[in-house]
Amino acid sequence: MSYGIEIKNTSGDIIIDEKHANYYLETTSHQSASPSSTYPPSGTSSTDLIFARPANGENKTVSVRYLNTTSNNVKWADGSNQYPSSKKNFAGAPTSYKYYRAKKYSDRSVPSGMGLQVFGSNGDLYFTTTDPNSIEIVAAGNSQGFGHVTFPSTSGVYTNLGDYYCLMNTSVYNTFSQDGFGLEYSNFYTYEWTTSTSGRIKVTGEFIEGEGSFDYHNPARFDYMIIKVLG
Amino acid sequence: MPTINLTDNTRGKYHASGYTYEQSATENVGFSCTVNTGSLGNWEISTDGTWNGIDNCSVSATSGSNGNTITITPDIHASSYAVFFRILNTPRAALLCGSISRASTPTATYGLEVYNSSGVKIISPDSWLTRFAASGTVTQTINAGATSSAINVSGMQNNNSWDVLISQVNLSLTSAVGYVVLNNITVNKYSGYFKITNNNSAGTSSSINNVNYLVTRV
Repeated sequence: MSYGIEIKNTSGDIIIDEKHANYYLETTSHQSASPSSTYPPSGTSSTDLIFARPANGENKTVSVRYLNTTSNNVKWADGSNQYPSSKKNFAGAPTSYKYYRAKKYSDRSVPSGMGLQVFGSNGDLYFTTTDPNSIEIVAAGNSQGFGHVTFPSTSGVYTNLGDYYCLMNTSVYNTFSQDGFGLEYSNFYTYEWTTSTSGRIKVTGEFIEGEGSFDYHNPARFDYMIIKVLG
Repeated sequence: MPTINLTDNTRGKYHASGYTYEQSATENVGFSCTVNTGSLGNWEISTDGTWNGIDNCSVSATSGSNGNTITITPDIHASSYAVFFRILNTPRAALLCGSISRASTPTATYGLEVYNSSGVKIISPDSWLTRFAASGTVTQTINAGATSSAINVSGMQNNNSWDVLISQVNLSLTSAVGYVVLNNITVNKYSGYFKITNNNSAGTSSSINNVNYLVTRV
């Protein structure tokens, strides 16, 4: 680099620079959404990230669902359709989703006060230390090859599961029934809280094709991210 | 050392799912596993084009015979890995997958730490943050089995530090018996751009259009 700022972590990843805006949490505490209510929440921009978890203490699955095939009728999953179901390792929808909306720093005005601020070469705010809480990624990646995977890989790391939220932007499942053929097609992209196993989160990406108990299970592509809210 | 067992003839069963490998302090250490095929023949790792049989990792061999041992090295820039083993011309297959945790305790002994106005440490040398790179809508119609033209993203590279999030896919259904597997969509990353492929079957009115995308960096 010939000018500007780059801060790298111990893995060599750039975490702050003047080229890309970081994300901040829009609110200081989480918001709530009921299963089957509209997703994304009103006021969400196409550049926002939505992070969600079940209500405190619930071992449930979080996902969003397309309700039909002809429009963008997207809801927070309520688990009422055939898939996912308990026999497909789906723990059911939570009584309430808790979520944060993350926005680009460049979407907001520059706060006053002391601390560190980083601006992009276009003059937009890209990072500030002013906010009372922040995001730290604990797991992220994309996969085309697994049925499910659990984070962390050893128990006892996530001491308070209520601090952890999962990226919902690509978390979708959908079911299509094809009348006359009796087949159903379903993609699962879900996160499941498993507090019974010492606070872990199971990520599932699966494509199912079949009828009744006769199903083909195949891995599906899934971009996932689990964050911890600091502050 | 895990054993990948390809001798069970239960259809569609993933025998080895769930083996996990804990990220070490040096982060890029691989582990070994043995592939057992009994008398059924040689094994291979799928590269049939439906999906990559080696996901977020590298392997020391992509084929072998009964009892061979291979080394799997997870990619430290992702948090999961998967390897799909199979025997050709048989229904025998196995999926080995697992996760690698980010270090649960800080490993850095020097570097920058930043605290916010509440005194909470929000940046350390071990931090991993997400940043906005690009967003937009792909307005072109992508027919079943077709691939979009290039969607340019400045600085993009084909690695796990770049994510392309797809949402709000508008469907174009003209037949009551047609169907679309909504997220049966593949995103391929290249240097400076990405492309979207609609993997849905042809002849089922399954074209897609107005795909919203959001590109982030971690």
